Amino acid sequence: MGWIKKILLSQKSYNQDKSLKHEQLSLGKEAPPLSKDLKENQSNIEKAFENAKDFKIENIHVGNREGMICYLNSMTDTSLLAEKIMVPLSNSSQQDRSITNLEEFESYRKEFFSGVGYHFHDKLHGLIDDVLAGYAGVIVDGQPKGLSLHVGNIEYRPIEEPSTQTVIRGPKEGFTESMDTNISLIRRRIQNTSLKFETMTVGKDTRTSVTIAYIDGVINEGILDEVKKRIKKIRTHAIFDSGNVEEYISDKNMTVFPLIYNTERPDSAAANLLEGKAVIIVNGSPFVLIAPTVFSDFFEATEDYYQSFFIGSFIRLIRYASFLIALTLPSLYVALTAFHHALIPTDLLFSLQAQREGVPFPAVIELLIMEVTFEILREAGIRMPRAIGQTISIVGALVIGQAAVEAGLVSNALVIVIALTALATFVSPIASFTAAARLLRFIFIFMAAVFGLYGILLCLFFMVAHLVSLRSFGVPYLAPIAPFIAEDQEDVFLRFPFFSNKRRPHYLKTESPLKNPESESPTPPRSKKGGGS
Amino acid sequence: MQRELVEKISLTQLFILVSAFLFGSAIVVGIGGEAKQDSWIAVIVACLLSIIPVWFYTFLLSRIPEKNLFEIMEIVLGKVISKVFILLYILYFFYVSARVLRDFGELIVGDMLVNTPIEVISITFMLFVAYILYLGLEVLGRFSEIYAPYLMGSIFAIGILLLFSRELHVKNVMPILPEGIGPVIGTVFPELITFPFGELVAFMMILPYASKVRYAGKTTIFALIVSGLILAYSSFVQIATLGPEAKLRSKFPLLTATGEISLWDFIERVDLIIIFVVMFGILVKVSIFFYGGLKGLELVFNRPYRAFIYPMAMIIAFMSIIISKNFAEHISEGISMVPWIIHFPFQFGIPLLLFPFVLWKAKVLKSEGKKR
Repeated sequence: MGWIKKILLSQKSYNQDKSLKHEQLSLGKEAPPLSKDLKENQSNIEKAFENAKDFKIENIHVGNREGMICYLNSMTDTSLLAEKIMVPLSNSSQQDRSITNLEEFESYRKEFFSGVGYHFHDKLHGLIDDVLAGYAGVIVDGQPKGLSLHVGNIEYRPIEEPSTQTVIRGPKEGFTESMDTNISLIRRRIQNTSLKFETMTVGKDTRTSVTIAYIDGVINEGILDEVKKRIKKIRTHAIFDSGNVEEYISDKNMTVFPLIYNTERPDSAAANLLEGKAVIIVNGSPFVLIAPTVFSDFFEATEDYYQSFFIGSFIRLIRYASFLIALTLPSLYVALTAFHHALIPTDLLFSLQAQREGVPFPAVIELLIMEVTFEILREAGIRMPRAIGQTISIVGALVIGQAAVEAGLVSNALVIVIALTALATFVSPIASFTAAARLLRFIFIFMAAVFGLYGILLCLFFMVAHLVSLRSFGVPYLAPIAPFIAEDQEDVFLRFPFFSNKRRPHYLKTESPLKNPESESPTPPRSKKGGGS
Repeated sequence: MQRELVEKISLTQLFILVSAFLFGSAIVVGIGGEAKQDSWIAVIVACLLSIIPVWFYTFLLSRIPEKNLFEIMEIVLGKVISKVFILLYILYFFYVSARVLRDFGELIVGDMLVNTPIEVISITFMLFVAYILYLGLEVLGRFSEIYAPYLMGSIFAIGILLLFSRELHVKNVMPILPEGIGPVIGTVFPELITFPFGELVAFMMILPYASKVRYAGKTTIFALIVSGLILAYSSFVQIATLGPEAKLRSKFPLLTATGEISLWDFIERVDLIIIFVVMFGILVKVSIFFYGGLKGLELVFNRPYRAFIYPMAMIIAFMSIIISKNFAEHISEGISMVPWIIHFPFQFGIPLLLFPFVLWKAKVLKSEGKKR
């Protein structure tokens, strides 16, 4: 691992090297303050938006004075602009309003632009930032302050069913790329003043809005401060997806396990908020982040809570089992066929050996061929244009299934192993989590090929030791299991019925530990005296 | 949410560590074989008797609170003399962990990976021990919480599966105490009392780091009793399955016994899977002895113990191979020599020697505290 350290260190010295100073793009550059002279302001703004085709600037009359309005037609809704700003401006009654000082400007705004989001700016770059975010900037001659009015309304993908975390029963809305829509999707579910949204801007060049949502009075203050601190600490030029943010605010990057949960489902985000977690919404990404996260979160789907707790618990156990299968089944195949024949029942051993008769490779090579083939197929399935998807699945099924066996490359039993492993990989509700099992699987296979069962056990030991050492925003990653917290077991391996689930998770150290203390079992209590039906 | 500077382990974790520590190699090599069919009685007797030394250890620690054995020695005996004793203890801890590692290596080589050289097992296993101790005592504690259910579960499952396989013959345990209590006492002293129970002296390095120190002693004794009973149960199962003679002859009686399990022609050769469980016990035992030694090195050389981990781990891997030529020698050393020459002085001798000094020093410290 030494060379990795070396690369990272070289990055550090690169940053300190003064000769390679980073030339910041103009949009973040300190612009001059707004002057009282309209002409000067206008030329400054025009210079800033030089060669921007979508930039519009118009000279207008505001009251009895000269003024100008500027906006980006790519970021604003022109009908909204016309209705809310242009119509009032052209109203004849306003023509004789005098605007000589700030109070008059303010009262002018109140009268004609009420109901439109606004800011006053005394710095030019503040105004430019707002224009970039979909505001219309209004400057009046002789006024040292500029007014920005919100007329932004950009076309976004409509609310659709989430493509990754699908459910049979439960809400089918998914987050979209628009942060405002996402906030509204959460707010619709939690109509409570305690639900807070705080926005900050991240990314020097992209200036992406990042919103932290939390429930005041529930989330642990320390955790909330830590989340805010880490987002403020992000030093990067560009954020395009919550994945970028995730990497910057994770406790540790040198791990294959995701330390922050991501979801496309508003109901999941809302439920997590109420448990005492923070939700991080990144503008432009339909995946919101949820922090802090523990290992068991990745085995919970929202649907567990929408159906009977018996089936919910059962499915959850299946998920844990499939994680183990996805992780160890191929390596167990290698270990058993290559080292420990004794563990295979005799009849099965005979048929296995008979199948492997014509196969020219040792078990591990046979397995690696198929594993790599499968990974290629999977990647192809994701990247390729939708239209050809059908073809590939047929080709894939043929390659993996029949042809490889008939060509004598692999044995039939191995195909079953690979297929089951592949299926088990897809069981976890969160895609980024299965990546861990996919990667570790190869290490397991390698160790099994060298050390047999002992190698697998050693790998499991290393994995668990690593997992146990991880933390997500200060919360131990394996929290309710290790360190063992008895009160939190009601929602880990099994989902207990709601009436017995009265507390928020202990490990989140919430400000109000009880969530529904009055809930009762629907079964009426038996009276002690008996009788009374 | 700040990380605490001193690593702490919870009482649950302490309980699990103590039990896993006691199962460790004891469950692998089999204990109390000399007592024949009464070895399970010997285990119970030894377990109950060893409450006294364990209580004594916790008493020593409680006199000068929040200090581990080596720090107490430093306070009581002064810097120079204590260093001699600490170095001796370090050697002892490292030697015992090498012995435990050897037990495990022989087990894997003998039963699982027949063609693999034992060196490979020692080195890979020590790499893991080094890794987990590098991550810290806290991580070891949480790690053991994950594996503890499997350990306990499988020990009970062995008995039940053997019962269903009709391999459990109670007549093997009869007659109880045919030659009186003599052979039992002969096994308890010196063998059982020093191995595995007396080895709890290594926990004098761990106990001060428990989160609720006041209950640490009680937890340890409780864990000692519980795991003593489980060891006795395991011993009983082994005798009932194999008979006293075969148990004495067998290298790893528990594995031989589990080898008898056969259900539906499907559940067979469970012994290979049991190794999984055994491995966890061994891990805890090696790690705790190793940790004790490393803490000593930290004190003597005044450097964080993490600096010593990898070189020392490799030295222990090497030691585990050179301590004896073959398994027979290893076991006979363990029975005839180690208890008297090595275990007794370090488990009872030096702590007893320390006792009056500690009492005196505690009094001095107390009066000093009052003056202030």
